[in-house]
Amino acid sequence: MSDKYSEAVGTFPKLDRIIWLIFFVVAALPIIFPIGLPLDVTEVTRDYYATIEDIPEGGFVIYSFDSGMGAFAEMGPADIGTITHLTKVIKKNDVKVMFVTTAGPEGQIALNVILTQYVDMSGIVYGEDYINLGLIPGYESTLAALAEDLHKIAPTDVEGTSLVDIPWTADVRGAEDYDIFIFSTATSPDPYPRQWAQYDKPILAVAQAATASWIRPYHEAGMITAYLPGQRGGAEYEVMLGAPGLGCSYMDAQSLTHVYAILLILVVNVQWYLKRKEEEK
Amino acid sequence: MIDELIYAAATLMVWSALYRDNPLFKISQNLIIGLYLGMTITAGLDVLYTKAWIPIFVGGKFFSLLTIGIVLGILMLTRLVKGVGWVARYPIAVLTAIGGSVAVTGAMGTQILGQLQMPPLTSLDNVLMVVGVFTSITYFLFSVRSQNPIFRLSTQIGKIFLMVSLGCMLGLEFMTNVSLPIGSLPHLVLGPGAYVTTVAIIILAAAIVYDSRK
Repeated sequence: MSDKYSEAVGTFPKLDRIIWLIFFVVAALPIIFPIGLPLDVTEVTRDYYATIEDIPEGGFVIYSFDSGMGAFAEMGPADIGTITHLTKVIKKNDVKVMFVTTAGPEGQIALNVILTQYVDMSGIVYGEDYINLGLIPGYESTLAALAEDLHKIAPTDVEGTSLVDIPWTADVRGAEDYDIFIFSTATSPDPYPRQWAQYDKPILAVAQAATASWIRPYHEAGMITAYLPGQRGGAEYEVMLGAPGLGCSYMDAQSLTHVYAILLILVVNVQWYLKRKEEEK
Repeated sequence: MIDELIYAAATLMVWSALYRDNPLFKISQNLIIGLYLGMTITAGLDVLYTKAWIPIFVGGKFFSLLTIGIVLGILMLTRLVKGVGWVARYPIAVLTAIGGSVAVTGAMGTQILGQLQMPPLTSLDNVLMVVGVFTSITYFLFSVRSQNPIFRLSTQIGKIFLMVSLGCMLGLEFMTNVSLPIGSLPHLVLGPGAYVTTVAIIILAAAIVYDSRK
């Protein structure tokens, strides 16, 4: 650690430390004592739900899982909700799901955590209902290749089984055979519609709240069908699924910390205004 | 239980930097870098084995595009050898060309032509969107020095739209950054992690007392 950094951290004004302390108290209290603030489900979340619900019988889903454990607190609830919903349509409509990671190794770790710890996978069989292609580095180039020729970019799944030997992937060639694209990204959402929107298939996105404004133009233009932004999106989806979980438990804390942030902004602005008035005198 | 305790301890070690620099923070910093490096190397080797070694040496695809990719990958390592480092420019050039062409091809339809469609002015949302786009663009027309009152009004309105949109983006950024500590809090205040938090609070209190007496 550089000396400059040590100096900067070491000389934090005491007020900053108090602000942080209050922040943690404000965020922790509703987690210990849940308030259960009401949560409205937005239209875009309903569209997201309806799109998964409408996957045709025997439909094929490609899910590019490119978020990671670093963003798990933010995107985990939405990813868990999406995969939980997919397990339901797998059982109901014999839908097939193919997971893949293109952006970095973290995606596979987060995906495995979700599949083993957070989603009820009973009755869902690997190889029959879903497969995982593992990490295929290349990000945007890989996304393009997955849509153009699946077997060329991914001849085998993560376990080394040839896709030709899996009955439901043997004849799948590319985007024309996929019924829906889903992606989960903790970074830029741009590459996904850039490579997939041309195929006129539904595209669903799980993204950080910070990138919601990034995704919105694609959604407005009809390229991304629907999206779940951050914890809020995840919490709304849990309400849609009728199973409040991680996301809903976070929302009380989110709401209170936002009120706290607004109060801080107000206090600082009033303080600044008074100081300026005083200087003018 | 053990993983919950480790999770709580690691999180608090990182957050301890909010009070001041300390050895626990340094340990956590090095731990994160080490773990991430280990994970990346493992994943990289796994990809090399499953996507390259098996198809080439087990599948017998010696003369395929995959082999060219592997050769280009090896050439990238020439940067480490003094005198032949220039060879690495070739794989970098190939990578840049492929990445650029893939991105630009997709961008034309989605990010340029797809965004140029004029929405029907049937709702307030769409009217605001059109007005916002045009007035914001006029704000950035630095080459036009116009005293035209309509143009000046447009730039002023554009400035307001830009400020509102920047405010929204900042708000969303805040929401994202706040959600990260919130996601960790259940592990710190509920279950076994609460014991670690209690110990951390005691250490923090002791540090405050110690520092105040210095």
